[in-house]
Amino acid sequence: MKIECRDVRKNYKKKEVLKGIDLVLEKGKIYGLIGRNGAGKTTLLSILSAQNPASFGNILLDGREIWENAEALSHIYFAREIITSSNSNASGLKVKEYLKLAETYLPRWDKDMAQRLTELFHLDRKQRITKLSKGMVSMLQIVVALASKADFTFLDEPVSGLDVVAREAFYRLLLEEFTETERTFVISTHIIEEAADIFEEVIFLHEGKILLKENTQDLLEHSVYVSGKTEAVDRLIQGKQIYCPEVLGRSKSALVRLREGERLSGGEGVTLQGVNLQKIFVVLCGGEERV
Amino acid sequence: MQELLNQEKSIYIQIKEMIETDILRDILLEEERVPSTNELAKLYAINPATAAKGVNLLVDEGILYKKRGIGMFVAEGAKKTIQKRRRENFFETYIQGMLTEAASLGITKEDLIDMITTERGNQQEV
Amino acid sequence: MRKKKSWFYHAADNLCGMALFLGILLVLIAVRREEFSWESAKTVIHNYFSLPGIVLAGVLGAFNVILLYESTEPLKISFGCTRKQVFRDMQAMKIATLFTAGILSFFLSGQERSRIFLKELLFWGLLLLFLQSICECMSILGMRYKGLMLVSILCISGIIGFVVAFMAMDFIKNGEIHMEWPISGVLENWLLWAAVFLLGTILLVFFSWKFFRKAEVHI
Repeated sequence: MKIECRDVRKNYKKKEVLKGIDLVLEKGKIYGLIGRNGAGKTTLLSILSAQNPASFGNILLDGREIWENAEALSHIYFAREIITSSNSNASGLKVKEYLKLAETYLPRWDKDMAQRLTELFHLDRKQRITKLSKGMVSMLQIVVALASKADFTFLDEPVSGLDVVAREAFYRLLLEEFTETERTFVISTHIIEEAADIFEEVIFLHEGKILLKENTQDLLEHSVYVSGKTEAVDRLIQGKQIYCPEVLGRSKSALVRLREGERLSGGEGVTLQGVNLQKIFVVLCGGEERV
Repeated sequence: MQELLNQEKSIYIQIKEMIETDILRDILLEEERVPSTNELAKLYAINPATAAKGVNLLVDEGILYKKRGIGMFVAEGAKKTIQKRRRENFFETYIQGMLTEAASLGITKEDLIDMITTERGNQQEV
Repeated sequence: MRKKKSWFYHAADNLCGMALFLGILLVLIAVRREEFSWESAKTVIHNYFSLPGIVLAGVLGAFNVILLYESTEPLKISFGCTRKQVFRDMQAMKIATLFTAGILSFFLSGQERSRIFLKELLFWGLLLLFLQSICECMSILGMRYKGLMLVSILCISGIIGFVVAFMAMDFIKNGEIHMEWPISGVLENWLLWAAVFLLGTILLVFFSWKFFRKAEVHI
């Protein structure tokens, strides 16, 4: 089972928010969708789940269009950030009413799981959604996402309102659910470093385009931070793809992205260090230079 | 299997090395079952595919083997294999860096041998 | 199952609302006249409640249309319902409400079941369907242009207020409700008006669907 996204574009009022997205999401993977504010993450996820129409392009589930396709949509769920301001749709509802709606319309809803998670998170079922704290709202979003049991579940910033303890609990819950069911999860987040370990693949969305989509471990292995004496560093990075070169006195440093098969070895006044995912993201979304 | 993962090396390499270390320390004995990739994933909060990558490396090297439907087990002679390989890599892993650092500090090889024999730092004042 | 027949429940809501309003009216009339007998109640119902019944049900239905498009229907879409399903359910609710209210009105009217009465009933039924479709169209446009949503809520509240006030004034003046609608001249060309409303409804539904099928849902 897989979702294919073919040349998807989206315009909002003359502004091109998504500029030709090609993507394949496979069953049984956890993807991280990382991008700056305004990169188009929410838009992409809402289009991938047929919440909103693309201006151009197709989304297919196993070869069939998902737009207005009830059968296809029964396999997909998009857990948006629930907005609690008083004029939003969910605001008038109580937690239990919202859960009841989810139970009514999500075909694979697991009521026991929803019950268990609601208790685990100490969510007050009788509370109005507008009155919930930011953390509680995130937890409600997570409860519905997990209990939906959808084959493809998209979560938009699920941890934004959670403190670190709750975040760790979420990652563990997610892994538990994942190992048991092999559902696909696509999680958009700003808190990159924490989540990096659970993503099998990461997708960098930058200004409406996919900058990269790679296996997380491969990406990390192929990224090296080189520093040392300028001449030695220059010799080493000759012909390689480098980012953010900096010179300070007699020393130089740069981030190198190795291509398949390329290797770097240190020694002789050059230090090689690993780079974390957050650093790679910050560097890549800030431009690129070649030596 | 208690250490936390750090940023220094790829996670799956760390998983691999943790299992190897446990085998060396007799925490995991030959023909014993090794935690499954799902168990490892949940324990360290990492993606199961990453854990699997580390475990598969060990399978490729003949340190673990798979019993279908049951799990991964420590192969016979695994401990010896690990010791042999780590001995081969010992120079690169530990000595090379030491020699480079010593050179930049002006510590001679004789000083190093002395340190090793007496298991003490250089007492002379520079 | 709630999911499959949500329109059924919404239509039932409208009819219950109608019954509630009529019930209150009945009590008020009885108090005003100081007659509390089953006979007098029956007379009141037969004489005065048939047309107001369908009008109330229709207007409440229109209000419900706006309310649903504003709150629940987008949420249903967020849970995987197709826009087709949502739209179809809404049409089912509109028709079920008016059809059932029409039948109820018919039986409420007692002896007045003349041909003229049937024409009036049909007229009102189609006018209300038209009204509900206007509200639907405005709500759907309101999903895109948020200001419209407010305008349509205000309009329909105004209409409900007007209807209620009209009945109340009638009641206060005469102790009963005659619904001397200033439209009796219209009824002579009832066929024309029926066609106008029917056609108008069809056009509205057509345009509503055109807007709705690609509507953006921003929750």
